[in-house]
Amino acid sequence: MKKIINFIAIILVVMLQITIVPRLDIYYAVFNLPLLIMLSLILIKRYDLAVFWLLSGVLLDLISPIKFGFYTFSYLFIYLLATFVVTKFFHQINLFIIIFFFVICSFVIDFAFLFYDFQIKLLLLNAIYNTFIGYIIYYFLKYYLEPQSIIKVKI
Amino acid sequence: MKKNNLLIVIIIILALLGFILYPWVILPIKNLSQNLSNPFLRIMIEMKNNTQGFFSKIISIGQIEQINNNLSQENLELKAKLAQIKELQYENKILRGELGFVKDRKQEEYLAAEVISYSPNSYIRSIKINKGYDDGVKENQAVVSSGFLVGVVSEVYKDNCDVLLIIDSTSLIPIVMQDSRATGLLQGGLTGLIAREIPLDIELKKEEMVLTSGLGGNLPQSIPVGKVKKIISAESEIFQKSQIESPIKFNNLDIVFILR
Repeated sequence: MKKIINFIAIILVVMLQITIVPRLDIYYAVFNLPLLIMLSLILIKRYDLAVFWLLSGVLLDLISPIKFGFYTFSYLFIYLLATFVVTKFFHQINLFIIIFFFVICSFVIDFAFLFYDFQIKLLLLNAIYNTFIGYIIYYFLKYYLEPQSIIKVKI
Repeated sequence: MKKNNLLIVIIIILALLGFILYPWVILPIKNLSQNLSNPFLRIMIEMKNNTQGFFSKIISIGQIEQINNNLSQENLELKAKLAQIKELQYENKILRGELGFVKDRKQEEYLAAEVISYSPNSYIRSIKINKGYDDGVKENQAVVSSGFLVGVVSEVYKDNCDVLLIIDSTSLIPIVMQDSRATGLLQGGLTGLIAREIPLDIELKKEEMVLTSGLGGNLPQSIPVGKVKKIISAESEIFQKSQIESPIKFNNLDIVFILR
């Protein structure tokens, strides 16, 4: 049931991303809602739910005008990078880690576009906007979702 | 964890296959997914518009805002028509002089389309509209709103198409200034619309209308684009540059027209 709700949420969020979110731009900067939700889920250590949000990359590829595979591979790269960083280094999440995390991930997703159109101002604006919205989403999800408990049994 | 890894592997395989077999496999899936999502996207856009309308009614003073919007819209359309008439007068003058050598201008046909989605990122400024090759839409056709150029059809699918907006940094439109008759190229970007490659010997006028020149053959001529806001080129430059102001709110487009 949880997975079905998660899947419906992915479709809804992708639709929001291509209809309403671009209209909420600040000097052309637009936040990336599916990515922010996936990152927030990784930060609260719900990898089981976060991995499903990779599908949002596939859906965005199917709907957006960009070459197929761009969003899928970017999301996958960020997912693997973020999971690695959170499991290996960020054991105690605090405000600075959240800001650092969202800023870096925003830079990573925007990096490919710098070859399309080098706009450093937009890169920074996107990072700030993503961090601000990501921070809200993180606390919202943290409030409603319990972290996944991992018990390792050595035989 | 194993399930997660399996899902990741499936997604990688799907993406790789899609990337390699794009025209044969992904394009039909893309068409299908866009057809399926169109009704939901329209509902979302309508919901957003309705919510906006609801709040604006509470916040604003009754119908005044609506009347004002209608009048502004009408004003824009009239401005566009005036610019076209001026351009026709100019064209008429030339044609009279060269009668017998110029073909009649093809009658333009407008096809109304609804905006169903926007580009999900801030670098590519494009929209998706609900008319595709089933409706006779072709690549490189001009798309206008309130009489002003908003973009060019970049990719066509069965029931919808992508429109690259003129504010995108990769968009290049051949233009002509209405009064000074200076020709140039219009480019979008974060700094706004910039008219470039304008010869130095021509004196640009502030507030003069900017129209498509029709050079290159992709776009018809005389579609209003905006007006000259200010000249931004330095004296040492070999071409002139000017900032162009379009009256169109590009992140708030609902209905557009395709010129066929």
